[in-house]
Amino acid sequence: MSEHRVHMTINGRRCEAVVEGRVSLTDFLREEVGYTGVHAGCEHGACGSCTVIVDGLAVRSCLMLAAQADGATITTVEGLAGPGGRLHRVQQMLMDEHGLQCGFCTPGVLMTLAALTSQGEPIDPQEVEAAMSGHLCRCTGYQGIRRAARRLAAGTAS
Amino acid sequence: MKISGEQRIAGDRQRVWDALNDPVVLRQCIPGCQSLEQDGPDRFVGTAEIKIGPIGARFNAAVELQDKQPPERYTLSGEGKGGMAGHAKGRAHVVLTQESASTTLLAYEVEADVGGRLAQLGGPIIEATAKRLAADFFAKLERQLDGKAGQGDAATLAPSAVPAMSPGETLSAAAARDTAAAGFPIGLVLLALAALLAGYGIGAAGVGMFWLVLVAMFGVVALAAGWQAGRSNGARR
Amino acid sequence: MKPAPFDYVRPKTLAEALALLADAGGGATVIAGGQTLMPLLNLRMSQPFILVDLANIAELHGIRAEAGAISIAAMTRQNAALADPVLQQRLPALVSALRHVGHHQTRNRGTLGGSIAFGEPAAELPAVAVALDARLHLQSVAGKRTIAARDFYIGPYATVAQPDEILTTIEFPGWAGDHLPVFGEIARRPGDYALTGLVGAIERDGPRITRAGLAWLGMGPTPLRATGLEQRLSGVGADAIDFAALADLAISETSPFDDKAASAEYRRTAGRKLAERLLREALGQGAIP
Repeated sequence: MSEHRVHMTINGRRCEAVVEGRVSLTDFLREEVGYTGVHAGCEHGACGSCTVIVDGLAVRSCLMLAAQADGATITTVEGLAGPGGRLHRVQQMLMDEHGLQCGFCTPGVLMTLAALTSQGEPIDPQEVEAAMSGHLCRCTGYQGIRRAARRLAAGTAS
Repeated sequence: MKISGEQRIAGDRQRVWDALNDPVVLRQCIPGCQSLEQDGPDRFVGTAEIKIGPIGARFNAAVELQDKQPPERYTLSGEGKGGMAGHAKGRAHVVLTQESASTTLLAYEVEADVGGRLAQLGGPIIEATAKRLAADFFAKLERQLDGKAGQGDAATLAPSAVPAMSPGETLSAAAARDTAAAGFPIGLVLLALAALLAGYGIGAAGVGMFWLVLVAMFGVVALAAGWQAGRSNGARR
Repeated sequence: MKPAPFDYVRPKTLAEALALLADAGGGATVIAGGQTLMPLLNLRMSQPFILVDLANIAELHGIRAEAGAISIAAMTRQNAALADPVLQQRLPALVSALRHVGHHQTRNRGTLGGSIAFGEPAAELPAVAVALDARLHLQSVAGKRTIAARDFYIGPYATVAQPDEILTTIEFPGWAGDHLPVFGEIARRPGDYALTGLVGAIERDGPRITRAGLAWLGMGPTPLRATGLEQRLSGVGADAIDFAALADLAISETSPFDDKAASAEYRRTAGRKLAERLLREALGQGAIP
């Protein structure tokens, strides 16, 4: 079993640790670094609750090894809000559209929305909506998430 | 789960029997066998690994030989454990008959129960894979038989080119002659294959690659048990 | 739900990776995008001793377009391929198929080479490779070899690639600029493995069909090239086509599974309707009601 020294920038802060080869990025972020906002749902890539942003792209942290993230820039849900707890645009929109109840799927949903609608690039609402198929929600019935997704996408048009 | 079938092998029954008694032959035909030991008069334990692409697992297995009627038939019963990957238990009845001067018919009937993680892959996939692995085994076995033409008892062998023999081959041919009476190896091979196919046959909902692996492992242990039994019956070791 | 222990290695060059595989004697597995392999590792359905990560190998990235062929290096990420303007223009069937591969999030990591090398019978990309006559370039310490995609798959998850070989490039031959792309699949949800699907390309000279490459996904132990259908289409004028008969012929060449997801009967029924619809749409007669 190999061990690896990894360096990452997580939510703007540099982080360094030694990890076993087989540790997933989900477990690393939750247990080693303490970002329990990264949720471990199915651990095989189907539910989307573990989704984080790695080097600008929304990815399943359960399907990455921590060792693979060496050198990466990572954002978790804890990194969205601004100083003083000011909500990020995607958080505000999801709240306004009642797109969350228990909150388990929410971090993953937010990270996909942030990755697609907050990078300064215009994006088609249908594409953002399609990307939401990568998230399973047991509570809301999806319509609030859908509305938030479409409104956020519309907001990228310039 | 039940599955039965038969396989024709080019070669007269004695040659097939000898080949299946030959540890060198079996080692080259059985996929993934890593170890095998005798664990009692008619009982063997061993480990095997089966891989299809990245999918695979390592299993521990134990096999018992029962109702032996060499050189024609016997029953193998066994079980295997692969940790989280799964587990299996089953039994195979194997019969060997001379169909023609140059063809031996192996017939098998297997019953098995399988459970565990690999079962998720799905019955048809297991079945398809099992059949492919079984075909690989029999193809290798036939190539071994071709290669061995000319060794051993000339009277029973079909004329063909005699390949150069390595020292190992000579020894195993001798061992095979010594243990020809044992009768287990072929049965074990068949059982192994039967187990393999049975595992696949277990098919339907919920059955997955695990079946394949377990059965294959089954087969490996069975085969190993077979030639081990053969060896212990003849020249010692 | 955690992998069995393994050693993780991330070589910088292809030569290094190939040496690792050769030395491991079958005990090593490569990880490309990891979107299929990580679940297998987590569920312990795959237990390699050594995991060789291909991500840092420069030779395995890039799309090269030439007049007669397009070469896609194996580690090309699925979303990168989806967004590539050359692929959109010259291989529209591939791009349509890519939209149905997993989800946006898995396509950010998943690769073309990983999917094609794995050989899931119900996956889109292996079927695209088979349909479009792709050539697969494999390499090991012993050297290089090229296999036609249609000869690559021998069973579920089983290919002719040896344990010490890496798929380095997928080479698609040229299809005429105005060829008709075909893609359709039936799945219960977006991103699911297909219950049945048909993909490929049809070339025409005026109304006459001059070349067709079509393959089924999810209809047997491997992607199935629809050879009988292609032969029947060859040389035919679009106005002389009996689409229902063609669909019957196409389905007769398949051997779908009976499993938890769907019965063989369902796959044949739905697949037949899908084939008829796709052929009608491609060859100009619009969708059937």
